Amino acid sequence: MAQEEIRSLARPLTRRTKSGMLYARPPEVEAQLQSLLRATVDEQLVWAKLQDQESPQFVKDECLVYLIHEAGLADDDARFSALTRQLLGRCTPTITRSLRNLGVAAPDVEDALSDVVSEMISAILSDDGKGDFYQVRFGKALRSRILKVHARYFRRQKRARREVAFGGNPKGEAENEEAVPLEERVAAPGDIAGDFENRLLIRGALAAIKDSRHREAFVLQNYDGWQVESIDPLEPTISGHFGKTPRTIRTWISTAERDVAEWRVAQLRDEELPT
Amino acid sequence: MTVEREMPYENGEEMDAQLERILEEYAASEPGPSRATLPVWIREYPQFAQELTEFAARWQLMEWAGDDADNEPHGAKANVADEENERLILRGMSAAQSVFYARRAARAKQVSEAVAASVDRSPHAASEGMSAAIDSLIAAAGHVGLTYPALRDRVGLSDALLQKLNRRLIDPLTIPVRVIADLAGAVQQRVESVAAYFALAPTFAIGAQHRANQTPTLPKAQEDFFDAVRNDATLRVSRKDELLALPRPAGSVRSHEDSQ
Repeated sequence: MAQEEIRSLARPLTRRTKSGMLYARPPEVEAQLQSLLRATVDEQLVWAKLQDQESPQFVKDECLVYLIHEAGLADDDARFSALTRQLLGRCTPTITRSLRNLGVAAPDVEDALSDVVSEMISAILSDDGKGDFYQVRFGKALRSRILKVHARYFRRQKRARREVAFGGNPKGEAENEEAVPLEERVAAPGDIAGDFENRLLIRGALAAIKDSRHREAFVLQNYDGWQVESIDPLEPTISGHFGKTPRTIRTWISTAERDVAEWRVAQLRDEELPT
Repeated sequence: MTVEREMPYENGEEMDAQLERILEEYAASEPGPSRATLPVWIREYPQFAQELTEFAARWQLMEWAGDDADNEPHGAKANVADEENERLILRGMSAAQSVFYARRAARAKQVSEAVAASVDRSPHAASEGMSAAIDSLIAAAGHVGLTYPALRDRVGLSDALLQKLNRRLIDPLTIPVRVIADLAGAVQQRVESVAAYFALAPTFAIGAQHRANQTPTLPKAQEDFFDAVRNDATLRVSRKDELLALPRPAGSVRSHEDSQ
């Protein structure tokens, strides 16, 4: 009888969408929660420490969030710390890598990481539903939080510089329009959607682009189909997004393509080295 | 289903809160933030066109250049903890624990203030005017599918102690925040609601029967929580020690037995 009662103790989510619908955990998350809530706290902690995602007892991020929320409600600092340690172990590399890719300077990454974690945990511990999204789609919720922190960082940097940001191209802004042809362009997303190996290849190529703004412009054009400019005022453009002239954007993208080409040459050279 | 539309707010903080909700929903939508979906959202929320555009652009950047947790390879280790990563994790832990302890302090203050404010009201008002969201802890447990024995086991209290708390025979100013939080968690109520419940006037047990030739009375004074624990012969020794080790709420007066 006690087990049946425990089954009903997964608290419902309370956050609503703009159309009034309650957030809902995916069925696989709900199912795992029911298993977890039948277990003792000690068992939950043991499972939370599992690192092998293939294990049937590997605790999903969304469920880990739920357990952290419960530990907060119970004011159990030991349990909270143990569970949060597991969650941060999983997502800290994602956070720091994302912040770097977004252009956060190396000395500022730790502070930005701290902000992301503080805001994420505040939401998870809140009892007004702010953390519900983390129990629905943890990856997306985390990405949203990273973007929010980055947006704040970016505004601060802009204010601090008090100038239109430009940097990374020692040749200057407007002169070099000549596109450097790629020796081998990374495949368009339509060819590789869902292919993990090619995603790794793309990430490697993108990491080779030295300036984060060039990387962003390159991604928007090549992977999300953004136009550099458009006569349609409602069309989102790369030029509009950055507040730069189309000529500047084309220079950025050319520079990014050159960086990718150089990376590709280096890759090919490494592959040809005798073993 | 009723469609709820949020009205635009003029206050900066509310705008920020509204923007956060909108971005969260955009992130949650399928297929997600992209050039293709952006015009739809900008049409709906033109006042946030710039923020939505930035969000979609950087979402795409992270999709392709950052980590996407949904696309991690199966079987990969979830924790890659080299030395630098471990240091960063500890930095994150520090931030997380700061949030936890700040919240604990704020909640303890809120609970103490709520209890003190309730107790400070005149006895007359306390007995009739005050209402809390909870009529009875046991009934509240029943509403969430928890029987009395399950509630007792879940919060680790004896029958006697739980009944005293339910009947509000314990001085609310002496009840540790942890006990209030555990009960709130078990019955799925806010901590403040449970604290307010404890501040109501003591009551008889439901269904109690009394001799007709004598008016039933309640104890003159509520019992100190720690005295109740100390004098409870049915609690396990280890559990008794745990409860007695809990911090006494700020502002409560130590009982005579406490100082022995």
